[in-house]
Amino acid sequence: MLELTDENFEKEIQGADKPILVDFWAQWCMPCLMLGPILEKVAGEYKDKLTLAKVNLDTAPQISQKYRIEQIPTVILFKEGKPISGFIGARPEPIIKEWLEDILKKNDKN
Amino acid sequence: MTKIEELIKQYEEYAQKNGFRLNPGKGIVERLVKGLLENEKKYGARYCPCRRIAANKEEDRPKICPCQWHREEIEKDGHCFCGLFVRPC
Repeated sequence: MLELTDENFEKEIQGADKPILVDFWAQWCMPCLMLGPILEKVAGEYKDKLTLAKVNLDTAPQISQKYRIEQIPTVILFKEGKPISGFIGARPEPIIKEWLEDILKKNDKN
Repeated sequence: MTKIEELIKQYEEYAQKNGFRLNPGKGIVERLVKGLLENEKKYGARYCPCRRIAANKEEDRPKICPCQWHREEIEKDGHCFCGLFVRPC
């Protein structure tokens, strides 16, 4: 899992060979703490297709502003350096998998 | 009474007066309240720990807990976005 900050975000996102699933979170956000382990589990199952990255809002204020993160957790999937889909708030594992399957399938076709 | 307990009591009273209640998960409430106090230390007000603080007082004012959106969120989703307040049983 990658830890992204204002310093390394663009470099890691632009240079990635696989889509990056970015979890914007903060230490005191309860829904973030609930979602974190779910994303780690899901990312483990999809490790051939994507990489999981975490962005702590405290260490990445500029990036959080750039991507208009207002509420957390916010999850965004980046492909070839661009955000292609995402969601806000904690969600159950099956819903996240369904979303990922759908978005990865659509992007495989393109 | 600790600062955390004091704040939990205040939010409990606020919830009761307004027809909803605090999240029944004690640990959840404690963590959120710690986050509110942490934000108060860092940014000068008890901003919701689940929202980005822009460090612009005008822009951030609606994010002070209880935030501008909590009523409609409780009504719509059964809880405010961060989960501090929930719909009554």
